[in-house]
Parts: sequence; C-alpha cells; structure tokens
Amino acid sequence: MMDNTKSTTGGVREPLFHLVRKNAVSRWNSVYVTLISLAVALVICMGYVLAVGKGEIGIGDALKQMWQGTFGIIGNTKSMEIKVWDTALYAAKLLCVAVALAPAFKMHFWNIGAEGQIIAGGLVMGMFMHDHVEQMQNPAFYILAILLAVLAGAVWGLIPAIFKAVWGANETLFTLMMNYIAMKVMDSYYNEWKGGSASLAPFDKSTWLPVIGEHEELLNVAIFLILAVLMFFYLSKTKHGYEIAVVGDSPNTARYAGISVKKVILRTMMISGAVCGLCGALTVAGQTHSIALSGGAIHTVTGGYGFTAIIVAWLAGFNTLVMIPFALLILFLQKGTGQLANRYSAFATGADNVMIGIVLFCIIGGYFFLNYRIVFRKRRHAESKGGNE
Amino acid sequence: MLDTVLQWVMRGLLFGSVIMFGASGEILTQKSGNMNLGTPGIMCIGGAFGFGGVYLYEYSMKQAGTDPNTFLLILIPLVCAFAAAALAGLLFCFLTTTLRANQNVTGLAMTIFGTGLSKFFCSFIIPEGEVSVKANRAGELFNQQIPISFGDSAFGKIVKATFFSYGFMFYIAIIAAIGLAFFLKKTRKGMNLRAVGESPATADAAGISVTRNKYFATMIGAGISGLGGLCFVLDYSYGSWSTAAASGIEALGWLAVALVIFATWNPLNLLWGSALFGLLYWLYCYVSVFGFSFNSSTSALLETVPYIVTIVVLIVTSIRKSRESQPPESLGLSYFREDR
Repeated sequence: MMDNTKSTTGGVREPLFHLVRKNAVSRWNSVYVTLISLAVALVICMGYVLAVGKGEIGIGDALKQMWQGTFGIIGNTKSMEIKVWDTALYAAKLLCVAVALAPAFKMHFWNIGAEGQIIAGGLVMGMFMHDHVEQMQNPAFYILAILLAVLAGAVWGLIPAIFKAVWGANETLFTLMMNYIAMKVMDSYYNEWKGGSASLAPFDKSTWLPVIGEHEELLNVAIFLILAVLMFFYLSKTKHGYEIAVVGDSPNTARYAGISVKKVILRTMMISGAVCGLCGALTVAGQTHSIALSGGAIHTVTGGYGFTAIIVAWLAGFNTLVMIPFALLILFLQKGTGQLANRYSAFATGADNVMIGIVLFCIIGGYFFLNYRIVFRKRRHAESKGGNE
Repeated sequence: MLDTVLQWVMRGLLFGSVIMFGASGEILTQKSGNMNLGTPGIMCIGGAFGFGGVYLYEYSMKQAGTDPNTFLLILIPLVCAFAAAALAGLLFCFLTTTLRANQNVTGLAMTIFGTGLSKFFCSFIIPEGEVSVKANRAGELFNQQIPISFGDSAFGKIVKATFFSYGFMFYIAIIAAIGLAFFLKKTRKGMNLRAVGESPATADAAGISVTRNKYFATMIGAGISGLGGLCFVLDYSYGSWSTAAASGIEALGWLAVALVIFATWNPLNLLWGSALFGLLYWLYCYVSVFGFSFNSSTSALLETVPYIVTIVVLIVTSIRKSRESQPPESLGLSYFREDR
C-alpha cells in the first residue's frame, strides 16, 4: 500500500480517491452497514410503492399493510396466529436451505444446486407416500423413508462434488444443471401420477407428517430451527468445521496442514445435500402433501428457495444464526407485497421480486464498505505520515 | 413425415436462435471474467421492455389513427430491449467490478429482480381481466420470412425450411455469433478482453484497463442477451406477451447459460449447439414421427437431455484439460489491484 504513494510523486496526478482493503471486519461495523443499506433500500422501495400507487398509497399505510401481510393484524389474535405461523414456516424453510448451503459456501464451493437437492429429497419422500401407503403406517418404515429421502439429497449434492474434487469441474455450472434434471424428473413423476386428471391430488392423509401440538407447522419449524443451531456449532466448534474454513481460505494451506481436501469437499457436500434433502422430505410430508410441476405456481416443493437461500446465506456471512433475520426480511417483502396486491392490483405480479431485488442490490452494494475504505487524496498524505494503520 | 420433421426443424432452430442470443451475450461477458448468472433476468428485461416499447408505439399510433412506420416498428423494440438489458448489465457490473460484490450472488439477485420487473412492467400493459396482449404489427414484421421458394421437391423444401423460414432475428443471431467469434479471436480489443478474463493482474500490468473492458463486455453482452428475450416475444411467440412469457424466458435463460458451457466458450460452436439444444427441446413434440409413442411423463424426461449433455461436456472438458475448451481463468473472481 505504501509503495504506491512513491510512484505518484513523479509527475503523475494522483487520483482523487483510492481504495484500501480493510484487514478485519468488526461485527458492529457489519451491523451498521447492513442497517444503513436497509434504510437506503427502504427509501427506494417506498419511492417505488409511491410511484406505482400513483399517490393513492401512503408510505405509512403501505408499511402497515406489509406488516399485516406478514405478521397479521395487531390485536386480532386469529389473524396474527394464522399469519405468524405461515410466515414462520416459510422463513424456517428458507433458513433451512440457507443453513444447508452454509458449509459448502464456507468451503468456497458454490453449490447453487439446492433447488435440485431439495427436489431429490422431496421426490423420494413423495414416492413412498404415493406407493407405500400401508407400510408408511409403521413409524420405523416412515423414518426409513425420510432417511432415504435425505440420502437422495446427499447423492444429488455428491455427484458434482466428486467431479469437482477429482477433476476440478466447475461446480457452479454443474450444480445448476443438476437442478434442471431434478425438476424434469419430478415433472415426469407428476405427470405419471396425475394420469388423466387435471392436477395431482394430495397423497393419502395417513402418510402425512404427524401433527405435534395444535399447529401443523410446528414440527417443521422446530426441526429447521434446531438444524440452524446444530449447524452453527458444527461450523464454529468442531474439527470438521475448522477444516471447512481452512479449505475455503486456501486449499494449499489445507493440503500443507495435512487435511485431505478431496475428503472435506465430498463430506461437506454430502452434508449440504442431505440437509436440502431433509428440507424437501419434510416439505412434501408436512406442508404440500404433494409434488408439483417445477414451473407451476402453487404448492411448489422448493418455491424458488434454492436460489433465494444462496443470497440469504451469503448476506449472513455463512453464520447460520444471522440467517434468521435475513430469512424473515425476505418473507416480509414477499408476504408484505402479496398483501399490498390485495388492495392495489398493480402489485399482483412480479412486484415482490422487484422489492426483493432492490433490497438485495442495496445490501450487496453496501457490503463494499465493509471490506474497503475509500481514501481521498489529502487524507492519504496525512495517513502515510502517520505510519501504518 | 417429411413435413413434420421440417416443422420440428423450424421450431427447433427458431428456439435455438433465442438461446443463441443469450449465450452470445453471456460468452462476451464471461470472457471478461464476469460470470453473470443474471442472464435469465436480463433476457426477461430485454423481452419485456422491447415488447413494451413497440406495443406502446403501436397503441399510440392506433389512438392517433395513423399507420405505424415500418422502420420504427423494427427499430423501437430493438433499441428498447438492448438499452434496458444493457442498463441491467451496467448495474451488475457496477456491483461486481466497482463494488467487488460476489458475482454469483449479484447474478442471482439480478435474475430475481429481472423476472420480477418484467412481469410487473407488463402487468401494467395487460388490460385487467386479460391474460395476454399482442403487438400485432410488430409480431408480423418479426415473423416476415424471406419470400423465396425452392420448388416442391424434397430438397427444395428442406432448404427452405432449414434456412429461409425465419424472421430476421434468426439471421441477426447468426451474424452476432460469427461477429463475436471474429471480435474475440482476431481483433486487438477482443484479445485484450480475453486477457482481462484470463488474468486481470497481467492485463493490468500490460496497461489494459480491466475496469473499462469489464464494463464494455458486460453491458454489450447483456444487451445482446436482452435481444434474445425480444426474439422470444416478438418472433417465437408471434408478438404476444403474458406473465407466463417471463417464466418461459427465464427457463430459456438458464438453458442459454448451459449452452455457453456446451459451446466451451467458443461462439462458433453456438451455431450448431443452439440448433442441437432447440431440436432436443422440441423433440418430445415431434418424436411420434419416428414411430415412438410418448406420454407426458416420458416427454418430461426427454427434456433433461440438453442438461445431461451439458454436464457430459463439462465433465469431458474438465478431464481432458485441453487449453481451448477451458473457462476463462479468472471467471467469477473480482479483481482488486492491491491484492496479492
């Protein structure tokens, strides 16, 4: 960094500002930056809402509507109960997928195949629910079915990992392709099962995931949250988690330290795929009770969360507990815009994704200020006198 | 039987031209080291805004009672689609090159944003209670074939169906791919661009501006991809738009990304690769010609073929490690001069 100041003295005009990479990012700093980015995003989003509403929607009203769409009408227990559980279920599912991706991303393995891994798990679970109604009454068999679904997800994640570990095939593109294969295979089963009817009926009710407590959502939400906590400890406190971090930072260092990079890649992707598979199995068994066409709009197994979760995982810095507020934020935007659409039809299609896009761009852009510092011409001279930072 | 096969060829090649645009743009982008996974979203934006532009033009001419100008009917959608998509590319490049954000994340965010924006934008145009709108005149113009006939002989029909039964976008796609190959391999600018994608540090040391090249490639590349979306709406769907069209373009956008790998980053391979993808995609519809009977569940399995073929290509190129067929060395990485 210091060397550059010398070269600029020789008649070349020094640029107005200059970027310096920060060495360490403090936790509070990242909270500030995220909050400021969110504030900027909020301003843009509200500008967008005002422009679309042509003055008919006030900002306060819009925010209130969005809040009601996500958490229900304050004071109305019935509405709150329904909305909060629904939001919790979807947020927990998004969280689960992001949690699944965390170890892979931490290893710098760009697994964008969560979509396919979820479907692999969901489809295997669906096969059992469709074809083995009688055996599924046996709890041991039911658990076996879930385990096989988890295995399917793990295998779907393992295939690209093998080619990455052995031959260095580009994992981003490989996992992307695996998504579409999984989707089309599911479409094929969907078409076969529905036969001549217009759509596929839900699987037999006796094969559904048992309901614990009053709410069907409870079991899934609980499992997904527990997974997030477990993954947090796996990544931060265990030897495996440490190995993942080392491989992610520098495969050469890992090799030098005696870590088998191949083994870590395969093991981590298996875990990543397995959690996705579990998410798919629980979604099919406990939420949709059916599989759906991949291009369809209703009762989708993944809901596009395989892609959205990538962004959630990255924004949270692969910290599975920080992912919770980000998952809730995405849900707030999705459900909130859905509520706005009830009142103002202009928001009916696409507006939720526009809002999510705006927020994501702002946060993604804002993270620049976490890692870099802009140093202006004058300040830099003062700084170079002051010695190193 | 010949007629059915030729119909399959026509449908497949037209489909191929849509993803050829997308893949050409993406190759240009990726050659500069930017992996833009926002291509599906950018194609949606191109399609939506190009269509929106020409639809509003037609509409306003209809209101005024005047006949729309043929030249403008072609120019407006092309310019709107290219400009809107290039702006999306600018945003992507600003975030990834200037702000050095992660390219995968930014690209996926762009896909979410782009598909959302295109659906939203066109739901303004679609009147309430209708599912789709149509730009009739532009649709006709974009589907205008070259009026040339080769007689009724089998050979004449084949030549006509394979080469002369398309609107002008088909030929632009081919010219764009060939032009891109020439630009990347034979011109100094193209070679500089490739140097930036392979090793930005080396290019920087040689006095090539990394930032300028990345911006240039990403914006122009996004613009070309955007034309693919336009081609889908005005040519492939005969000028009609619905919110389902955005989902259609998105699926094609991912296929375009796959095609880039399949073509091993060489635009000339797009010429036959896109045709192959198109034919495979439409195979399920025409497969009965060959004496097979298919139901809807096996036809869905047939649709996996392009993706499986792409994976095979990916595996083979990574095993063979031949120098010509590798991805650009620094693909997906952002460049910061002061990094070691």
